[in-house]
Amino acid sequence: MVPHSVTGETPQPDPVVLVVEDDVLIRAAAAQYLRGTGFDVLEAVDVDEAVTILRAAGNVRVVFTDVKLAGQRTGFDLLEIIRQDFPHVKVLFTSGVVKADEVERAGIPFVRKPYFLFEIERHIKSLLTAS
Amino acid sequence: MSNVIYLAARDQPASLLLVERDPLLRIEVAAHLRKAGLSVLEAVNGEEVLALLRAGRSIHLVLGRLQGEGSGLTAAVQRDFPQVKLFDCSATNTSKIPQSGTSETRLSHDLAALEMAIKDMIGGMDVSN
Repeated sequence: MVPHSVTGETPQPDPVVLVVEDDVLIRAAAAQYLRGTGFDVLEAVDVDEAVTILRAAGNVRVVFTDVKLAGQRTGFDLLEIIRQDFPHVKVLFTSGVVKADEVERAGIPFVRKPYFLFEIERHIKSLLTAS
Repeated sequence: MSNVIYLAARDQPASLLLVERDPLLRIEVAAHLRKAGLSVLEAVNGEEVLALLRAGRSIHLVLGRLQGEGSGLTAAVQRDFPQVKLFDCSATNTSKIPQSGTSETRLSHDLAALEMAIKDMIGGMDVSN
């Protein structure tokens, strides 16, 4: 990779990804892996935290969220909020229990659990390219 | 199911584990410490701290308002993971961070001082990211 200082380009900030997952082992693994691949990663455990972070951060480009989360609200509730209040933010769903067609009906890409970490990297990069 | 994903990340470097229930405070402190070159894992409560330790993640130090997580957390870590250092930023703990104020300002008011105190505590351990 050619350093920006050599090319004269303004360095671009790392894309910000919000990982929403109530299983700490999965969340930590996914977040740490994505940081290692050059993303700036924020972490939330449920819909309330995710919305708080989205409102405060303002620069989240992709939300990678489990469908089933702790508490009353699900990834679908989060999707509704994102579509209404943060329409520029892309969403990637994951679940081990929800059927893929249920998610895909909402027009959202989906990664079934268990997944390999490189799969989410590929999906997120694809979402960023598309935007 | 978690194991498949977890194993793929098992070779990650040793880390600090930050526990904090306020997501914005957690993000602010974690971001500062990562910028300072430290590898930081995040937990939202004591249960998550113990889950990460029991899963075998390489963690040198648990940092946060530990008194707010109840005495059970510190006792369990000291009993089951005696090699893990504890860094308590609770408002009533005056041993590590000299600033006065609420627990929030204690954790976030002077992040440079917090960083220095952590680096001092972990000494020569490699927790770089």
